[in-house]
Amino acid sequence: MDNHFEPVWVSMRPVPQITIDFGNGHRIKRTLHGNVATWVCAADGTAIDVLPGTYAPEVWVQEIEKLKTVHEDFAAIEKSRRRQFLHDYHQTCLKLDIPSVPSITESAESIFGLHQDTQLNQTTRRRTIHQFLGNQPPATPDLFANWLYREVLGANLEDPYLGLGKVLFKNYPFEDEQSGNDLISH
Amino acid sequence: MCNKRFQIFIGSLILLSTACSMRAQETGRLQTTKQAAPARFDVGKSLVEAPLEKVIGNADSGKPGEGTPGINLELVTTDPKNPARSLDVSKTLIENSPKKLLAPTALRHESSLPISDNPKCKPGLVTWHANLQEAKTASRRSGKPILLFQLLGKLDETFT
Repeated sequence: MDNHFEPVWVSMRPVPQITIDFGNGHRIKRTLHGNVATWVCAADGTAIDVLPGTYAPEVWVQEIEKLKTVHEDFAAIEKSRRRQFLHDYHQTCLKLDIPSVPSITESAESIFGLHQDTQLNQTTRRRTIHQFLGNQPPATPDLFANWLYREVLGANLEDPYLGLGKVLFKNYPFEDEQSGNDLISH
Repeated sequence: MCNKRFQIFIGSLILLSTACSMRAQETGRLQTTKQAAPARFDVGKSLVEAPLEKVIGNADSGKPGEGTPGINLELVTTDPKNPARSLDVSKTLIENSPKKLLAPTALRHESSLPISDNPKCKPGLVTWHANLQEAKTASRRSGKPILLFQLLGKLDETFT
């Protein structure tokens, strides 16, 4: 990856962790509601495209290589034509039949659910992204991130309860009494 | 004879005085009791006892809101077919509000505590730039596209 990209990772917000202590020395610890997005951007930060969520590694590499080629074309044209280029690119992607993900990949075989996630990302989610980015002026990922996480990945970055609000507050009976004193608004 | 009548008179006075005194004391007690009426504040214990009643299965009628003044038990889910199910729900009556626990000020008060028990780890074999600005600068130099990996949590922490 170092040979073909300038990689950088950015944390969008913390991820909640849950620990179950069985009291007999066994503990389970895991995260809840985590997710990722892989953007490919030009040198000025312009977002070219994004792979939403988790992917089977083989499919992720294949798609990233495609986006590297798109970036080469993007970088080769004049700046004044780049907006139209991105619009055309996303429109073209919408018209293409996205081939379905092979049913068994090495990673999908070993990680339960990864194949379904990859399939969802490559079809439904990427179509939503192409429709959105194709109708926006070119911009950097930070301007699209809130939309992406909220509308595509189902994780509102502005939620102070990190997606756990419904679970935490569903049965709390003094909600009305405390609503005036809450420090965090919904 | 006269002396005997005088003794009876004196005795009657003493009895009357005693009776009056006892009555006065009784009246005083009654008045004290009336003045002590605010002791009904004890009824307010139901605010904390109500959940216990539910926990030990001694709710008056099983109907939400009955027999427990001062608290709206309609908010506590009661399943007549499976009473045990409602017990877990009623824990919320004695637990702190999760919103308060999660409030930013509450977190600030506990700023001396470790925020998270999440050990650091190496974020793979990739050589990551420290931030997006650094990646942009490198991209201008190399001509390579930026690969921006956004995530919830941190890539250099074990649980992410």
